[in-house]
Amino acid sequence: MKPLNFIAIIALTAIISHALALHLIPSGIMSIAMKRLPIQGVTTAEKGVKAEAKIDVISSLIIKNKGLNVAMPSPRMDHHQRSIVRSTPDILYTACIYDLNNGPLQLTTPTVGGYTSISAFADNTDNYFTADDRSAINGKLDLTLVSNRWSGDVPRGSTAVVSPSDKGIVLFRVLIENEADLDMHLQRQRQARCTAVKR
Amino acid sequence: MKKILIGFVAVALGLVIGLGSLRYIVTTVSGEIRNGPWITDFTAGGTDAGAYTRAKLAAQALLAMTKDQSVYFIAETDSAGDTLDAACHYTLSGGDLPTRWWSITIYASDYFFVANQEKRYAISKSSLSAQTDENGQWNASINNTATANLISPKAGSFSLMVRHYHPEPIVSEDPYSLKLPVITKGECR
Repeated sequence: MKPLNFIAIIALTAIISHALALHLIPSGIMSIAMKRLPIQGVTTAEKGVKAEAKIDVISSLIIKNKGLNVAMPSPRMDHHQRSIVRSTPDILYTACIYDLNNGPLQLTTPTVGGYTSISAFADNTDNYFTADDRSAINGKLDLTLVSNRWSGDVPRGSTAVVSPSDKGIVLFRVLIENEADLDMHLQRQRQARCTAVKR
Repeated sequence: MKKILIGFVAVALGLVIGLGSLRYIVTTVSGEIRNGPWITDFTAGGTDAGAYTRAKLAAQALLAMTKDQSVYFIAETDSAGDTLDAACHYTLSGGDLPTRWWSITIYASDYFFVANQEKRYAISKSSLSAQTDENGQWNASINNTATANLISPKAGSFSLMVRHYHPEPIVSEDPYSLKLPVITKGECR
């Protein structure tokens, strides 16, 4: 093989593999997160049920829905958490891994008590929408997540948010500004909802 | 036969260069905005982010929000430009930041929290209020002893992230003017 051909093959392979991997990384990592988080949510819910020897509404929904299209409040972040990089212990996270193929989802959370937000991420990692306590009406955020093919009415008082992809992640954040108020913030966290809109 | 073998070698070398260079880029903190050791990219998380920013974000800070909601600055070096090293003690000094609330979190080289029973992964506007002087200035320690404000790993490098929640307009309009915390290296083992 001529030296020029040898170099050309190296260059071409390098460029193609670099460009292809660059394109696949965001959706690949999101895909892994969207598979891991429901499993983790179900495991956490099952552990909670076992420890408490009773089942609450949230855990029941998480287990029934297999961690999909349901709000899953995470325990406070610590070093045992290995799903999401660079999280923070100052935030109480609640994830809703969504699939809009079965219809829209209503997202609600109370916002009284400090920084609260609902942010939505497409399957390519884009944070295409965020609402927070400053944009809340009557101390509450009420959104309806719909696919870009969907047409219809959203529940009364709810604001439609169009997702650029059928699948993605919604993250509710509750900020713990002061440790002394932790119980109050934990209660706020557990009021986040991600539910199918009834037809 | 020899030609095929040389072809395979060329493809293998191409893959090493193509994927190796991407791995380096994606796992390195970089951005257009640099303030001392602190680096940020205001397009992170947004729909206008470029392919490299998107890939870096996925690898280093998945589910980060856009700059109107939260601005993140990352430091992998101290203020003198040396890599943050778990073998050394550091002092972090600063004042209040122009934002609704802020926090500083420490991460091991794998971007997860540093394992410690004390759970000292972060300091914040609230947690430092008791040690803030009359001029609004505070100091915090970073090392791998149980009494540190932020506990670093036993070995290797680490990083710090400042989060600005609901930043004031100055944060994105003139990020170079921000007085972000100074990271000073102390004693090393």
